[in-house]
Amino acid sequence: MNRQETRDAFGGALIMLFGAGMVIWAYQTLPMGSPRRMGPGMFPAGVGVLIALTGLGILGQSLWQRARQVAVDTKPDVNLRALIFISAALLAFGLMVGPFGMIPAIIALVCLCALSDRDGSPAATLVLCLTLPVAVYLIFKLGLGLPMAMIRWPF
Amino acid sequence: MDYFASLWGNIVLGFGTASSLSNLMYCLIGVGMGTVVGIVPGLGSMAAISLLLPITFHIDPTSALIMLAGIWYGTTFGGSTASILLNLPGTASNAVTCLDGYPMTKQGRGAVALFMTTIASFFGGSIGIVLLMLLSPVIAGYALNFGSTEYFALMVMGLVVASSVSGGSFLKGMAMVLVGIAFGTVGLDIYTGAARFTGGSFHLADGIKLIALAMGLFGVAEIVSSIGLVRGRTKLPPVTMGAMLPTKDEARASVGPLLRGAGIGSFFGTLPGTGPSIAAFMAYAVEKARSRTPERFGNGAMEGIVAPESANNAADQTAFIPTLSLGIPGSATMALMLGALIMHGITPGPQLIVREPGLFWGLVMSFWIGNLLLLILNIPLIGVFVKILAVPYNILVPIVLTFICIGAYSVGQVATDVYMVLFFGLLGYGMRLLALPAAPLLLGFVLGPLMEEHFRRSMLIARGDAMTFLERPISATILAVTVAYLLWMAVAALRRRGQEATA
Amino acid sequence: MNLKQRAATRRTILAGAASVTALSLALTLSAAGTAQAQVPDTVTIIVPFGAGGGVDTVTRAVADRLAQDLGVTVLVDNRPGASTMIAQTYVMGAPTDGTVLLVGTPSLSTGFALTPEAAVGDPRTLFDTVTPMAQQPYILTAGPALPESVTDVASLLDWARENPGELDLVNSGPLTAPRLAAELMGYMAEVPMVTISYQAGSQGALDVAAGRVHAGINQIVEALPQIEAGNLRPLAVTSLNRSPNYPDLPAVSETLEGFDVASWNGVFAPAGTPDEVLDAYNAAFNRVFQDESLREMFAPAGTEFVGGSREDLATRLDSEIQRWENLAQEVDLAIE
Repeated sequence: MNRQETRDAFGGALIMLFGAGMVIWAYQTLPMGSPRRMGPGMFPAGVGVLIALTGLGILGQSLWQRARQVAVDTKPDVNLRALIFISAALLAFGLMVGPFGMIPAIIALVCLCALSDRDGSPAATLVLCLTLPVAVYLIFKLGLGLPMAMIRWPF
Repeated sequence: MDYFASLWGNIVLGFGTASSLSNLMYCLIGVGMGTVVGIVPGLGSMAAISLLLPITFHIDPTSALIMLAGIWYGTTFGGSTASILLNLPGTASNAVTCLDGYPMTKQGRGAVALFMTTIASFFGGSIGIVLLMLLSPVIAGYALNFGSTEYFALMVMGLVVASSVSGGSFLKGMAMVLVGIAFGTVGLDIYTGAARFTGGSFHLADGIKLIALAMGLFGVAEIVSSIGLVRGRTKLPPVTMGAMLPTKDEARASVGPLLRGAGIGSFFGTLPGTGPSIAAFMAYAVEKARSRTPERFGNGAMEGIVAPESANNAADQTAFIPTLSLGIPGSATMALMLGALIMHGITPGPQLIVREPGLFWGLVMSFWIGNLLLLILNIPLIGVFVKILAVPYNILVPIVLTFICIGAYSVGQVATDVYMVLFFGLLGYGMRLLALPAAPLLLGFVLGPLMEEHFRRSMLIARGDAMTFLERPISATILAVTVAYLLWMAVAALRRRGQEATA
Repeated sequence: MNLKQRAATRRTILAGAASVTALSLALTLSAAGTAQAQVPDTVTIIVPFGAGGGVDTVTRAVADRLAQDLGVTVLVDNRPGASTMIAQTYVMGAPTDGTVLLVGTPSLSTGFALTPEAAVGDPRTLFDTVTPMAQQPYILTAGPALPESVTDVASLLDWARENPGELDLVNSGPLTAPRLAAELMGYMAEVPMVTISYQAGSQGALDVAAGRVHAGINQIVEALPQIEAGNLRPLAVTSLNRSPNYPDLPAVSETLEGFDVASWNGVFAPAGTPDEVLDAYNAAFNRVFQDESLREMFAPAGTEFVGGSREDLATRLDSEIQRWENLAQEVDLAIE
């Protein structure tokens, strides 16, 4: 996967699959109607066809370029640690904000964020856990008057 | 022409209305609020307007409109800040500013970028106002000629042009535009009420939220890919006036993009619903196409931030023409302003300018005051904003992520929107790895639903005959221009390849 | 879990909570003896259309006065889309403590009567009625695509008869009352016409004014800008009688006997909301409807604040559902 063309081929194939999947889903779940009075499925199915075609085009282009050997080596750096912990942080926020309110959700997010970086500093995380909820309360609740529960106990 | 003869009288009348102490205050509240909302990632102008809407029922309609309008264009004015400094666009039009603004920040030129976008915003806004003053009646007339067929053709053009905006191949851009349209079809169909691609989910019936998509695709993807890589941002030189100013060459090179951007923005602003987003993409594409060094675009080209910012601010001003003179709101925000008018017993429409000169001209003149206030407000703030970059990354990330989450969550108070941020964050990160551009996806998503509505209606009116798009002169012209553009792109690409081969 | 099951489960859970609340509220009532004590501190009124439309502005003006009357915070929340079904699904899953109210429109009856399997459910059992709010006729207009000779309902129908299958009629969605008004008109006069949906009615009115579509059935506020500019010819109002606000404009029923379609708004609450809360709201809303400034503000839009009892609204909803069900049996409405 180091070469740009290989990645393009992979991307093109994925896009093709996405388009094909959309067409199939639209056909199976939605009525198509007629060109004159279109059903809910016609437009998505059409878009799916176009997506699959462009995906095919990207795939073809990359294979052609590969044959012509105009390679630029750009190895992507998959940042696995950050990917996992940032995802976990967002997930935790989503899971907690409803039942427990804003403050616990923010604290969970901040702590998981700290784990995403090898150089995370516990002191900075502690300070953020204390100050960020206050700042959020001042800006969003008092300042903008958004209706949101800061803390609640569901049990 | 008596319209132009009476212009001076109207300007004086309008300025008198706009400069009354209370109206100045409402204008300041509006643009101040707009700036704040524009800068905080994840908040749109709707939040601020809904907050202030109750006040508008108790003040006179001119003041109400001046304040609401201030929020509307103030948000766009401030919206570029997070795009440039953090790669966090609040709207589709700001996503264009990310393309070159964020690379400039990475090169340590964030202050220059902010300064230039502020100038471009003011400049574009000013041209928009001038056109609003001179041409309102004319434009209101030509907008009447735009029906569903024409809108559809225009959107096709916008999306084709958007495909060429990001670096990389045109096909990749096109694929991403289409994927954006695909995400736009999620939710209940507006013609039949059928649920599409919701998987039976209660919350996806509303469709995917723009904020969740934009914040995930840009913000989260950016955070994930730069954690652990960005270091040593702690030492920044103090931002002086000198550090903000562009070089002489850059300043000279920006004049053309400013003017063209404002022109493009003014035109698209008058078409309800399409407005600032298409305008920003179009202005960027035009500059890139005109440039002798298109490879600079995407790597911090000054034209790449100046043109779209000039365009979207100009579009913000001319967007008042369809709202006030045709009664058609181009956006949810404009709809709120119309509501405030109707509430005060004022019917928008072609007669409004004649019947309510105090209101119309007071509003227009308040735009000048508002834009000036924004300029005065924003330039000193650049120094403050740039300090954000001095914050160590491991502190900045949780703060930004918190704002993104709250922004997404507060729209509908459901966790689904936070999960959507995660979904689009993962998608955006994957797209980065595969070198697929995100900006075209965003525009496709914004225009997709409108495009479908206009396409299906055109077909219905034409009794299922797709030739209608070629038979109607305006849409045929637009489509012809689009095809010409495609051909020109293809020729340019082939020529470049030929040069590569000989080199 | 699908949509309906999920909402149903949630309702059962909430119903238990609500009965406890009702008990404690009843105790407060006997202690304080005021109706206001029944109403929560913050009420959110859900409007099933985008901000700035006719229903929205009416609701916002009413909400403003309701807040003053009750001394509570009244928020207006727009949840537009899919012939009001997005708003309905939202409200049917909302708490039954009076914190969430729905502005119901004819879509409540049309959606359920015509496509019961696609609708969110029977509005008569999903929602409790609070009060009828406002009523206004739709307006039938003709644009420059029709010859000058079309000046009233009779001449419009004549033109449609001479040009079968040609007449395009703007309306605002597949299941809305304007669409049905068009179908009903075609059925009663035995003239076929093509109905064209618009997300924004004002865009539709503009298309008629520009000559892209022949005629339209719109809310009065949507058509008013173009009527005042002389681009649209008003032909008639769709209510049974002429509008008191526009006495010179004939009613469609003067040509097609018995024709009666009007836009109405009523306030609803999720089913299971305690009677005390509903009664308190009913009283407060009806006090607000007497406000002279409110009535004057919306007279140009043809809006009358009718008000009434909780039963009035329930009766209206029930009779409309039966009427549309009957029409659907008589005519092939082909809702696609």
